[in-house]
Amino acid sequence: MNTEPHTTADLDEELVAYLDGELDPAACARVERRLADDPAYRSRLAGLERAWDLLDTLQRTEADDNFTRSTVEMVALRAEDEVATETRSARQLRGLAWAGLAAAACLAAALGFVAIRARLERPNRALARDLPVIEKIDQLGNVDSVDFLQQLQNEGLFAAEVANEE
Amino acid sequence: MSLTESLPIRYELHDPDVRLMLQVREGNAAAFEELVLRYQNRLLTVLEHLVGDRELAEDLAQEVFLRIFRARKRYEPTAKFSTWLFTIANNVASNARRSRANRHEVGVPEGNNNDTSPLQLDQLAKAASSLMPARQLDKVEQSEMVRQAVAALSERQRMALLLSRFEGMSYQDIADTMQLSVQAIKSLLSRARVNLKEILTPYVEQGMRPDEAARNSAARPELDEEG
Repeated sequence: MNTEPHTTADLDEELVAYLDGELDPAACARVERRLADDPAYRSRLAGLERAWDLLDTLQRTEADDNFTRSTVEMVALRAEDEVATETRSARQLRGLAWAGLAAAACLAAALGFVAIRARLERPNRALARDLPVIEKIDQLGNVDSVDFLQQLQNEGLFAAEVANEE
Repeated sequence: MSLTESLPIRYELHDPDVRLMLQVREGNAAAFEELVLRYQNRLLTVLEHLVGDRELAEDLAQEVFLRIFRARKRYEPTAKFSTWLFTIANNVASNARRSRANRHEVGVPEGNNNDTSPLQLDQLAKAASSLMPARQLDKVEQSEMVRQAVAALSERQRMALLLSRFEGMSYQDIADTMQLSVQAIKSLLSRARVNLKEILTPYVEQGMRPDEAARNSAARPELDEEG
């Protein structure tokens, strides 16, 4: 990029980026040309650099052994808590799985019972349906034509008898 | 570096701390301790200058390490380890500042959140035999004055400055850490350094205390907060 800074803020931004080694080669060359020609620009750079160098006097913090120990211990405790929580969760999950399995077994047993019972009752229902015919089997035996009997049934002749039986 | 290298593989290959963190992910406790040892001083230095309180800085640093440990199982190396750690540190410090401000039910003034009392500043100023230009500054006093000057910066300027100065981070890494654009970081650092110069020059040349110089510089809008 080759844009000339227009404001003081732009100028400072460029100088600071130059000091930080963050300018592209073209901008860097432009700054260096101006530094060679412009004493005020040079002085501004020197001021920024001086203040930056003063940061060297800032103290760096040293952690003591206690900090390291307590940090590692705290994290170890947290890890133990996590393991305990995971174990508890796994146990709860297992309990839930067993409960679910038992419920499914009960449901299957109930469904089986209903199905078997329905199957067993099916012949009884057929017998009940055919009862009027069974009771009159001797009389009906005198009729030669099945078609005739079918016609009587279609006309509802046996319906009253079935209703009476019920 | 191959163009076809994926990000996780690139960081795993080139950043030894990423490799340590991957061992932590696999349950290696010794690797975590090693990371604590490697980063505790760096982290405490940044946090102490950021929040201006040693005890609070230690609490926050422990919180940072705890968060790293908690995140271990889903850790993927998508950045340098230091960038990831200082991103967490930045978030933890911001949360702490917000909750502290909420507790006090008033905003904590930017750049004035250190624990040095006015009395200590007065004592320093007396010791400095003020208005004596270009005098030889005592190292301890000078360090304290610089600390005051850094504390007078806004929190974001301070964080960018500390990462640049103490961590030697590039603008791109600082931008990643603070979740801002590179241009924003360029602007922040420029203003931070100009403000620092404005605050420290009167002290170096005339013995004026940083808090007075900060007040003077705050009166000039172009030296204030970024944006």
